Amino acid sequence: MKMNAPSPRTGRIAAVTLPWVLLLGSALWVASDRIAAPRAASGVAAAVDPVCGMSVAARTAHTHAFEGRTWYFCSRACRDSFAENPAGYALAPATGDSHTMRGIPVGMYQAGVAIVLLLSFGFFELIPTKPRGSGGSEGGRWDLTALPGVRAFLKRPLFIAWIRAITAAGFLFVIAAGLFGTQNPAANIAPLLTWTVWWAGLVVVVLFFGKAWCTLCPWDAIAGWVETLSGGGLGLRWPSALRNIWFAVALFIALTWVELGMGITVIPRATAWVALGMLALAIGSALLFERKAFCRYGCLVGRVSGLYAMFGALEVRAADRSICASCRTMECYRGGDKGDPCPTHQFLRVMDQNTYCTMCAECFKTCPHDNAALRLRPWGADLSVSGKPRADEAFLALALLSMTGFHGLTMTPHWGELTAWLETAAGSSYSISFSLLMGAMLGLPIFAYALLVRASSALAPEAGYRRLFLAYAYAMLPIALFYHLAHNAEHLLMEGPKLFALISDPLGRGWDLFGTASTVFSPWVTLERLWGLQVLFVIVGHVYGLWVSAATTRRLIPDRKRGLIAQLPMLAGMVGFSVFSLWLLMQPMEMRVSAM
Amino acid sequence: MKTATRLPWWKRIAVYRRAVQLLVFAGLLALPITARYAHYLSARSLDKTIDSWRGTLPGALMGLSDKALRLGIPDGEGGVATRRPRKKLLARARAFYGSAWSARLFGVSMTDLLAGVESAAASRTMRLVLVTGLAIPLIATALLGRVFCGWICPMGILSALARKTRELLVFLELKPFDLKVDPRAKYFVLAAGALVVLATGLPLLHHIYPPALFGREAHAWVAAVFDRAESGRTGFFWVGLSSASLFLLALFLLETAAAPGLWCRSLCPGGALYSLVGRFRLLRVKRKAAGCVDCSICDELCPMGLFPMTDRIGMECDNCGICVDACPTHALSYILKPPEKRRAGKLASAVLSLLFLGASTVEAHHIMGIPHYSYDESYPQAPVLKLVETVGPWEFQLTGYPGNPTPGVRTELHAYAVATATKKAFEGDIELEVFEVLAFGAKKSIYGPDSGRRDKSLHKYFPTYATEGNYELVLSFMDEGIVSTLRFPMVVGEPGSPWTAVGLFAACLASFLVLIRAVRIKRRRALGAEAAA
Repeated sequence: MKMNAPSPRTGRIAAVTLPWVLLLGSALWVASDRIAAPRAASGVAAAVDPVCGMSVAARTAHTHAFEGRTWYFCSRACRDSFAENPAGYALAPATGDSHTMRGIPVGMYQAGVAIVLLLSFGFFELIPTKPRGSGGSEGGRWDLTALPGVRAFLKRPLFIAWIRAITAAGFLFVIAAGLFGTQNPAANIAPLLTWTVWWAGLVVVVLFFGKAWCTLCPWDAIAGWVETLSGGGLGLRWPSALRNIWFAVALFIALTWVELGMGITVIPRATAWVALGMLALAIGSALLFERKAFCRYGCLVGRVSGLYAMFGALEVRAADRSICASCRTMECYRGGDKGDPCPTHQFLRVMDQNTYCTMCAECFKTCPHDNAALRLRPWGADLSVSGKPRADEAFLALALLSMTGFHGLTMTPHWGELTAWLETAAGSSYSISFSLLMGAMLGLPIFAYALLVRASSALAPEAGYRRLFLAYAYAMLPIALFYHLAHNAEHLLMEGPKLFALISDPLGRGWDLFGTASTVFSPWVTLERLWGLQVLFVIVGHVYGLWVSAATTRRLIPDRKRGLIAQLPMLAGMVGFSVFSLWLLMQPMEMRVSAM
Repeated sequence: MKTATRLPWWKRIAVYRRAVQLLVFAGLLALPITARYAHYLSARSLDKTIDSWRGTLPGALMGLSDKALRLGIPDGEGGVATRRPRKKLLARARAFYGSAWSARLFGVSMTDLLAGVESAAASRTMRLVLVTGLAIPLIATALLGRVFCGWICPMGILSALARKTRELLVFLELKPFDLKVDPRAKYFVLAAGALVVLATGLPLLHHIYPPALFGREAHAWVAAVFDRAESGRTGFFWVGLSSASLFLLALFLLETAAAPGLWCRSLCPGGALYSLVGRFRLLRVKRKAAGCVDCSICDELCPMGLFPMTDRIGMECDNCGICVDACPTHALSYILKPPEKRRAGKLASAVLSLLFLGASTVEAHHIMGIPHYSYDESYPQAPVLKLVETVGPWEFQLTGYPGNPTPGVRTELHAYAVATATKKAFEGDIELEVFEVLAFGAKKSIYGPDSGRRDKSLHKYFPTYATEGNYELVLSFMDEGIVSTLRFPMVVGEPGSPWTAVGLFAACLASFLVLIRAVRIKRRRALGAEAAA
């Protein structure tokens, strides 16, 4: 992966450890600020920034004294605004129950753009590399199942079931909280757990643990138990017209529509309805269709995380393909007396992508040769060897790119201006103008991408438009994924701490289970450090995007010189998307849970 | 069922019994509807309501009541030929009151035996109206036995429904349990219940007595449908779960899954009372030993767990006639058999002891001496909403009257802030703004900002919520130069009750599971048949 590495072996080790180094580094970077900072002299733990309304940890905040009182700020920018007009802010400070978070400063944005440009056109393309065969995917793996005890645990019949019972209990609790708790979103744990912790955290999980969410999935767990308790389903074959992921793509777009359009993230009841709706789909499919057809074809969470998991740092694979080649019994696929057949019709002998694996560990139980392995691997391992690009997957990749950008855009003040403009210009209601703009935001990036691929295919006609369109779509995944991460880091680190207060009063009924109900928790990270992380994430995503695109080019356009030229429109597109990501991060963001 | 010779329908007692039960059930719903009809009629708003609710459920119910009550009464009143005959209609509509628990039909008060005992025990009074109210049921029971249980009580329908569901479970190979509880348990329930009521003076038995619960639910449902219609919401809706419907649902599930006929046979205190009186009954099921072939079909079918085949019927028979219908040789039939003299004396003493139960003169409220026609639903409650939140040093209290506002009706909100440390009330202005929370998260201000009316340190506001839905109450006040804002959620009407979602989900899931299982069983049987062939 690291093409300029001194030796292949060190390079591989670096590639496998990089994600974890980055994770650890980010955590230290976030934490060091708080650890190093002296305790605030006043004894104040958390305060509200009078300029933007964000709550800040007093010990790490910027301060300014005015009329004998110390004021706390999220950032230097807020402090400077205050210093210009202290009397005005002191008289009417912003309150803590809704706030607009500052975006990255202009200087950081400009630096980010410069780095992106430099990486794209400066030197990255000039590094000589050898084209890889498909066997390259086997390099740089670290087998976790070789550790003592890991395989034994995975082979235990009830190991996964117990973990799933816990998540299922949590899931039912969230539904109960959403339905029966207070409908004030800031005082109910359901919206926070669902949208901030789970939906935003999913990206982090995928990045580091691949399809691990499917292992925990309460929808499938409950559906499976219902199926077992009711004596089994009908085992119909999934309709061949639906043997693709278009249904999941439609679900994903529909979820984004209700999430951002109808604002279900701030309606606890609606959050519970969405969870119940997914449960109905899961149970219905489990009883009607064979194996786990819903997980394989219909589940939006599985498909979105599945596509992202091609990038993820954890995989289930055959440890030694040569053992598979001589295997005649194929328990991993067909099932045996120790476990079920692969629920999503994957076959270890040939499986080379994470996408459709649910990490259910059945193959660990069934394989008589103990040949199933759980391995750490470099980021993006599946993307560089992408075997058979599919139209539905490619479209989902592009939809992920445009929808994550759209997600960010709706939280900026520009979004309100845009919808208001359309409402007056077209005379339509908010819901119509929202839908129209969302359609445009979905369509425009894909249209732009199509144009760029057209240009590429004009420069290298031998590759063919369709092949290029499908293959390059996967190169967009890292960019989407890391912008998603940058955006969600803000939610997780800024809104996440509120969980500790809500856990004491999950239904908003005035309980205080753990004595933390009325504690005000400050964010886990200071704004400056968060900005640093966000820019870093966008750049890392861009680098991986470049790398995948270079690998794709080499595969499709053998002629190196023509390949370099034909890749240029794609590079321009990727730079465009990354700069747009940085621009979005620069915008002030209206945080979704009020009363943070 | 293994009835060898199935009788034609008009010869089967079950048909008549089911018809009577369904009539009583319809009557239970008709009684509160008729009361509403009389209410609108006397308020001279009947035509208006019928017209404005055209095409909706409450409109249809009123139209139907109008048609039914006008049967046989010629149009015209006060010299106008087309005018509705109000006085006669009112007299007719007011001829029915009450429920299966206690009713007045055509001026005659009747009360259930258990209701009578409970009322007398709780008030420790025996009034004349109670004695006359008990007379008809007592005489009917003395003549016909527990016919109230077998032919009238709405629990009979629920129990039969549970048996049908059980058959479905058996078909689905789900093997329901078959628990038996000693039938004598109900006498214990009756004795213990009566003692508790007597000791505490609280009428508690009607909370577990199905005929009372059905009547109460019918009243509550009708009241809710029309109350909502009056505020402009005419659609069908689910009243929501009450303790009564929960109890009935639990009984249904228990009888379906675990113990068929459990309640009527083994637990019902009213059934116990009717059994005690029914001992002396005139109408009995009698076996002609000559015709009997000892097939034991009747013993198997008896819902009361009695044994007609060996003449062990006793006092618990409710004359339901299932055994008479089922007997393949027609060896079982009804006969009239007057009680022996010895037993007549016992009957007299039982009635007397019932009449002289209690001696004090505690007054039962409202309708002297006769149990309520229906309970809470007669007296609309106005629940109050109370929201408390702390901001800085202030504890904030927002109280709403009523707590569940009706759309279009002016409501009252009281805000009050007190310092948590000093207990001093906040003296500044508090502003209220009310937002309607629309779909897509948009908010529309519908009231204020307004500093309301001051009543010492109480701040009063009078918003009107135009439509059913979610609202947000935003209170703001300034303290030491800092403006604090508080947001309280307010729900008007029932915009999607959580129980509706849960109920709908559970119901759909259950029927889906049944369907899947049925398909699987059919499929397996077809395979089996193929293999056999």
